[in-house]
Amino acid sequence: MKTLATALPSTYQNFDGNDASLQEYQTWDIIQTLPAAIYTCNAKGVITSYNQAAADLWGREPVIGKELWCGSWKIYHEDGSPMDLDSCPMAVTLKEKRAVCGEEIIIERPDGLRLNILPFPSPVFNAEGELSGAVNMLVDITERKASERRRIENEEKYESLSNDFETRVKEKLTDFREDYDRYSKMIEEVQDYAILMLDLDGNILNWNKGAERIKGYTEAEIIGKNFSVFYREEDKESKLPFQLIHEAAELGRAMHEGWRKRKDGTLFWGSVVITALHDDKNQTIGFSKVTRDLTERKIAEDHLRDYARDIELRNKELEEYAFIASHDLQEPLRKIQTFANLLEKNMHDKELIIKHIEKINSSAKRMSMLIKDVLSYSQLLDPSELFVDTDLGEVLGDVLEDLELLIEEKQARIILPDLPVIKAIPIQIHQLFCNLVSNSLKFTYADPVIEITCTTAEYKHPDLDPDKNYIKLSFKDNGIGFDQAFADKAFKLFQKLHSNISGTGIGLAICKKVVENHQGLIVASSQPDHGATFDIILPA
Amino acid sequence: MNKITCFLVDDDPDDRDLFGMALKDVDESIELMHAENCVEALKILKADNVKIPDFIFLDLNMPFMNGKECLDELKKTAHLKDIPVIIYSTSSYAKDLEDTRKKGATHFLSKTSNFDDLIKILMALFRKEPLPFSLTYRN
Repeated sequence: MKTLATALPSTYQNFDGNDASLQEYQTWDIIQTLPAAIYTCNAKGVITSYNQAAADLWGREPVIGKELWCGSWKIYHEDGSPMDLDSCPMAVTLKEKRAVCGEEIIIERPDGLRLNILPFPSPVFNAEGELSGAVNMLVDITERKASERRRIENEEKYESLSNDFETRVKEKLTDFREDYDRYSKMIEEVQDYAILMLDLDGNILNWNKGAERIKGYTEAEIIGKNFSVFYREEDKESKLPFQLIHEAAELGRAMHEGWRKRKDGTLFWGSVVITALHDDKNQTIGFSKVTRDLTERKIAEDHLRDYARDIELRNKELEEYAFIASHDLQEPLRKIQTFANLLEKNMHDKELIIKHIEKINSSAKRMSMLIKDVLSYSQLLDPSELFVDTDLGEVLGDVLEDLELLIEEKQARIILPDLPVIKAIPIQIHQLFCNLVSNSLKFTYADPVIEITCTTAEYKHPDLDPDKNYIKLSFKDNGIGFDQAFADKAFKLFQKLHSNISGTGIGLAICKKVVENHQGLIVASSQPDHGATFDIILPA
Repeated sequence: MNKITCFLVDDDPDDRDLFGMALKDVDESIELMHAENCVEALKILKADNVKIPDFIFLDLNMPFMNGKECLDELKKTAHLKDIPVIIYSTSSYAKDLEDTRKKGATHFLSKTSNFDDLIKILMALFRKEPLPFSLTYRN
């Protein structure tokens, strides 16, 4: 220990080998070997001794008996500001004669290294109670401080990491919630589609604006109800809603188009897709249901179909005309040609000439009649004629006036009722009445009686609208009648029930067409020789 | 030529007269039975001890039952189904030709405005000359 001599307290330098000195020397020897840095000062602050650990700490060996207060050149406060040497803790202890505890300082060694030191200076008093000096233990807390700092830094780092993580989680959650909100909002705000979720039994779990707009229920009204409320009674009875979710569960998806019911009971044409929703284990947990209101498209399609049907009907009518052209109008023409031909061959036979000319005349007359009737029938096919308030009594009066000569000739008796005013096409009603009355006058024996009645009695028929009011007009005669089996045929174009009586076979076809144009019904009932009755049902 | 019997179903009295005149010109001995409509014709033809005709001439457009329905009925009746049925109509409508051919008519004779043509066709028919289904003479 080369430093021992220099470090030896000045008081012991004069070691004389007596017992007390020996004891002191031994004590110092122990101190010298301690790993803790210890040094002493006299009452004036002059360093009187220090051990090896203190020299190691300071990084120098101060001159004993000369240097004051501390073995270090430069000292600083804990916060790093310079500290005057004579205000260091040792100086304070000596000046104030008290121990200073826990006041951290920083020392700077000659090599520039700074150490954190915790000094523990204590005053030493002699037997007389006077301050003789002080002993100071310096504890190097640099390492502790550093690790403390590291710990704090780590903690701070950890805290910041944790804060950062928390912030990011929060951000993600916010993003997610925003996404979710945006997504729910999107679904909620969709107006053109009803988008809802159903549980396994088809009970409604959520609702969007489109659903409210299309189906008319508010969210509060519908959540928890079964989706079968949107189906018509007949569809519920045929278990259509059940079939659809069953199909979706089995096949993953079910699609259907059909009439659906709104809250107010009105119907809309819905296009529905039901999709099964699955959990991680592929178990069906519910269904999504997307419905579109395609009523407008459906109506347009129906219109298109109606137009197609209308065109088909018109084609049929054209076919009827082709038939007329090929058959009925040709018949009198052919006869005229044939009799003219025979006339040519028999120019010498005056009797035959007259007979053939008569035939030619009657055929020409018939031809003219046919053309007129076909024309009036064709006019019935024009749908542009307008319905106006029509006094049926007035129309019938006009008809009877037109037929006055014939009525007088046949000496017919006609029984008339009071007739109402209805929405009708007057000219067509005229044709209807005219044909019926002239038929009765034509197919008759002596003393014809034509009885016309009008009732408002209810009349049930599948072709009639049950919500409308109808009137029933009956034209009853006491004429030759016809077999009931042929009653329906009578209304067909060019169908004649009687061979020998003049007629074109168009009259009753006209009647039927008129009644159809008025959304009514015409029914014939008769027995041969027992007269005929024609019942006409027209909307009142 | 054996004595021939014809049965004409036609509601038009003029056509019945003309047909009778034509038959007389072909052969005075030909017997003509007639009916004004199909119901009456079937009644006569289905009666006991009726003389079964050699040819039936059938108009199409008639009151009550039309010619096509009558043709069905004739072909359904055992003792009538083998009698040749010649449709005798103003129609030359393709559908009428097709329908009656399917229903078993032997010929389709369009009523012609030329009296001599009618006579010629009837003579060929009675001589059992091979003739096409449609016996229409175009003027």
